Amino acid sequence: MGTYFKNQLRSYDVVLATLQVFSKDICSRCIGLLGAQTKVIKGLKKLRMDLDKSPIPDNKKEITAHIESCEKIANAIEVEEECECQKTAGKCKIGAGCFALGALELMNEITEPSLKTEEEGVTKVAKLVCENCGAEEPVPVVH
Amino acid sequence: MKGGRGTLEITKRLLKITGELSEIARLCIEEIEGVEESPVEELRRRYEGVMPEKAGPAVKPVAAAKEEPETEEELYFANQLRGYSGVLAAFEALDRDICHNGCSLPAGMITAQKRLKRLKEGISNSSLSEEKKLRLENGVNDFMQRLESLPQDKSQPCQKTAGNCTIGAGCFASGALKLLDLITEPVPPKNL
Repeated sequence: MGTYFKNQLRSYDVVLATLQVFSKDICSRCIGLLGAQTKVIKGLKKLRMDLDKSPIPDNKKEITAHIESCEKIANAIEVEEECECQKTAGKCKIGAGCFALGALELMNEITEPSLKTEEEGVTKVAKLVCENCGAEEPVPVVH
Repeated sequence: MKGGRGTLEITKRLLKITGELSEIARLCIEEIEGVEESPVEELRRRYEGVMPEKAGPAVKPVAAAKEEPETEEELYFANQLRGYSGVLAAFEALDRDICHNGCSLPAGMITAQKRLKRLKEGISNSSLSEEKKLRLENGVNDFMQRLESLPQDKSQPCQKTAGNCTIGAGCFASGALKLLDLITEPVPPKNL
């Protein structure tokens, strides 16, 4: 249970560590990093909202604490207030790619499970198992 | 009736005193033992132990990146080191998770190690000044050292097979290595 949230947080840990390092280099003045930071913060906020709404009963406290920890780290990433794309500024010469956005793309490594699938799994179990005798039924039945 | 009211008054005072005494006792215990953490605080602290809020980056920023490279050759090496700093940070974060017991992280680590070795040879054979070579080589050495502290045993089971990694077909370790593919300019020097 909670695999969706655990996987998401697993990737946020990696993305944040990477963004932190890039923020110590020319990316600290880059709008790409600011954009990635904003996306991470928003993503974490959504994850927290999804968790609140989720019927997943286990480990909610643990997951919440992990989300909060990631939020703190995301907010602590240092990006200068006045920033612009460092390619435009002539500082970043790596080509068309962008490290900050590339780091964010690590999130795309996760393809399973979707939140919906996981929630459906939980609902299905709740519907099929009888509370009194533990018998399994295709539809809720009073035993 | 009067006696009953008096008893009530005394009882109320006693209750107040009891409350105050328990408050004093609580403060004394806190003073001696320190405030006990709530379970959520404890969990938060645990995660922050894993990924410190204001911790410095897992990999030190590259010194070479601070100065503006003067030639295409120097820029190539500086860009590569920039990329490796991101890859290493990702690797180190993965090492703190289930990837520590997997085979992809050691595989990624070995690939990075080989590439860095080649990069170092390239720096050594380049036409850069000795001072610049030394600075860039120090950056490579620093990364090599950090790579060595990561797991090296490729014979460990893939964590998908072990049932611990449930993210789907993707892999964080190989994904992290792809950060290097973002660097497309300048073209590698001929001697590399």
